[in-house]
Amino acid sequence: MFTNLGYFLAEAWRDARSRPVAVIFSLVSITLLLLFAAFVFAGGEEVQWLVAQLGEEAAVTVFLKEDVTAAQAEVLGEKLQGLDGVTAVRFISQEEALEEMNIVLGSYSAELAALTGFNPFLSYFEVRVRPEQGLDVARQAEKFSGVDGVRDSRQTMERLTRLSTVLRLGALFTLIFVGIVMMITISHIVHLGLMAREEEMEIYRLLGAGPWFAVMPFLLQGSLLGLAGGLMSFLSALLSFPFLFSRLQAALPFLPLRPGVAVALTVSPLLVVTGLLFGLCGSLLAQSHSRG
Amino acid sequence: MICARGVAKVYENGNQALQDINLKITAGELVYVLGASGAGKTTLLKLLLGMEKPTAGGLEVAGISLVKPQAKDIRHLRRLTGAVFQDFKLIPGRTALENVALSLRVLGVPWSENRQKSMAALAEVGLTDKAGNLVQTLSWGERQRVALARAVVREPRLLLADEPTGNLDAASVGFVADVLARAGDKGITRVVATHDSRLLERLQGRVLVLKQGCLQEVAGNGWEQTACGDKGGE
Repeated sequence: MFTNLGYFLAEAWRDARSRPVAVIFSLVSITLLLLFAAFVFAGGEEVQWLVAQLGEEAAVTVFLKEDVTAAQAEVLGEKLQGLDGVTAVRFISQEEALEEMNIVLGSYSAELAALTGFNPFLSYFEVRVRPEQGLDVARQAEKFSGVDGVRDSRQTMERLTRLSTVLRLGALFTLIFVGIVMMITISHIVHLGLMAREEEMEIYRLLGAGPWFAVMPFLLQGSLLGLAGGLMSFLSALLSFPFLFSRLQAALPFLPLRPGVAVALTVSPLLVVTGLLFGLCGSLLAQSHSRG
Repeated sequence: MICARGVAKVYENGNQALQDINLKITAGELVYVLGASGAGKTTLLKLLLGMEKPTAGGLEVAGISLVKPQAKDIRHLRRLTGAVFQDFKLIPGRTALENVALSLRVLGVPWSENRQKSMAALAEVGLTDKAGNLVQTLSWGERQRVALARAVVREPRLLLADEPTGNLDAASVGFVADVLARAGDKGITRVVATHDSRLLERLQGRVLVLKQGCLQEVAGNGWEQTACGDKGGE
């Protein structure tokens, strides 16, 4: 079989050249389908990444009442540091809190300051915790005097995890859907090729060719078509994701999103493997249909 | 090599193409099958290549029973056989060389060796200069010779040829006769369906005559209406 690999590839190319419009149409369809799957999958991946990032940054934010003095704050800091599960404690003053928000909000911070006319932020402790002990730390911190309130990031993380699961399931279903449509598209184009070369295949058989000899060019054709679609959708993702993610980052400046190129590279193996696999399945489907 | 006993072939439309064929062909023999159109020559060759199955009797080619053959047996038989079809069965859109080389590709012969042998086969039928021509641009006679080159290039054990000189001029008939003679030198068994007396004049062989599906007349030696296995040969 490998002796004739070059021949099979040449035959696959020859057949594709004989139906350029149909092949190009299929290729574009496959690329768009896979790109659609890439968008959904990238969404799931991105949320998953956010969860991981937030997990690493598991923290309990302990807000202080406005009347707490610096000395009291220092004592409170020591008490927090002494709690089980706490890995680090950092004090953020009202001024520093405002400064941080200025960085996040950029030009909007001036408007906010103009609206309120005063610094609306409280001083707080950013308490780094081991994720599994975050809830206990939050409960104990709430009881300390001088504490205005406690915010535990775990709830947000749990919500994000749920969202990530939903998105990943959605991506899986999208992938199955895209795969089936791809299989039908490729099987159709391969089936046309098989029909057009029926007499030729009969000649192969009369010369003693095995069952794979005649269909191998078509199996290669379908697989390569899927692979080419996968590569093209990857290239499209590589070009479009940086633009889309930069827009998304601009709209959601408080989320630590990854660069679009990194996301495109994450989904690339999926696109290429899916293209190749469903291309091959489509060819096999066409072949079995022709036999039928 | 070939052993037929009481072979009959009736097509689904009721047409009786062959009846009670008893035949034994030994290895290396050249056998001409003569007969008018519709006498059953092509059907006989199709049976020998496993393209059709006999409806009655026993048929064995190269030790393979063709009464109820499995697909792998048919494939094996065809790999041992070179065939020239009446309608050539060349692949359009391919060159003469590509068509000849296909015969060896199927056998998995590497391209460098394949090309060398295919070119030699084309030279044997006088078509070296047409090797790169698409087959549909060749004359009928040239196509026939390409088909012959494709059949002999694999040096088969059995060569089946259906009217191999049907479209040829006298000079080309000489080419075909020479090819058949050389195949004989290599010990290849040859069964040639023809009604071209020029070929018989150029190359002596055993002659069978088919008339309305029956082997009625035999010229030469070797034909006996005996059960298979009673006489030597493969």
